[in-house]
Amino acid sequence: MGNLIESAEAFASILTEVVNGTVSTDVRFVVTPFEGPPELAWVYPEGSTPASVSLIPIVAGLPDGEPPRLWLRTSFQVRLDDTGDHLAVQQSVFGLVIDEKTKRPAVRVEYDRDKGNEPDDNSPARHRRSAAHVQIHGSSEELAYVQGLNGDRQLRGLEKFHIPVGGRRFRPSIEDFIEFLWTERLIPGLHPGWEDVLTRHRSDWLALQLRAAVRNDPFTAVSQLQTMGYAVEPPQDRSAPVADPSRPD
Amino acid sequence: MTTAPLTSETLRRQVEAVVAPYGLSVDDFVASDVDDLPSDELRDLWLMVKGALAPSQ
Repeated sequence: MGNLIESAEAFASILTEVVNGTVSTDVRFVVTPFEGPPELAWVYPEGSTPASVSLIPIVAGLPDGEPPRLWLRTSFQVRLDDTGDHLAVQQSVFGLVIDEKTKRPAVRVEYDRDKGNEPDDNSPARHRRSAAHVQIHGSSEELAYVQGLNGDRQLRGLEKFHIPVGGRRFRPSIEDFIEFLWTERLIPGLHPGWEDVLTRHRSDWLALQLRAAVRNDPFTAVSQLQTMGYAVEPPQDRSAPVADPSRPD
Repeated sequence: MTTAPLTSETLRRQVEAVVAPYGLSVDDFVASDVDDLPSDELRDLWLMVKGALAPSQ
């Protein structure tokens, strides 16, 4: 069995390294356990509560002493997965905030593990949105036109659309989001060495997701390996651990 | 670092402080569909407390 708090603390350390290695300084992610049931915990910047998540000032690229004008908002609810062996993100939010007081976002990435269209869902393809989706705050004349064509009487803003991004397994990570902000010139800069930080942690993330995908569908994985010439034997001990528990799937 | 654990009662009080200005009770909020909530502040909160709070009996 995995240990929720130990695994969550390892995840918090990764988030701390990613954020301080790219956009901010002196941020520390912490774990708050819930006295459930259910057994769950929150991972967010120090000083947060589930009801009030502290913003992360984006200071990289700013002259010394200049106050931040943009912030990251990020929080995670984590649990052990159904096997009890692996940390899993149950829900997460990360976004770019443009106003510290109102916490008004410009773009957000939401993840709601049980709201996807995954093959192992109780009712696959019956949900209204993808488990992982992007919401962009603004307006689109083109989408307004499309809504009008389809007879919508109450036009929705762009932020009301849940743009699917990869499903449960290969959804964007915080590393992807930070690099998106940088490459699209939405933040003033990143700390020196950011490439190493993002590449290392993103590689770990992708490998972990691939492991989780294999756990979800070992028959397809075995089939592919056999196609490539590998000989795969079924396990003697089905309870043998197969994944690094330091980061959630 | 791990903070002090959060009890259901404390979480409920924290949520109430956020949703009350919107004219919502905690039970109404918990039972809502996230897409029906009027602000992103409430969306974020709903996602973070989903599964931790249930409507009171």
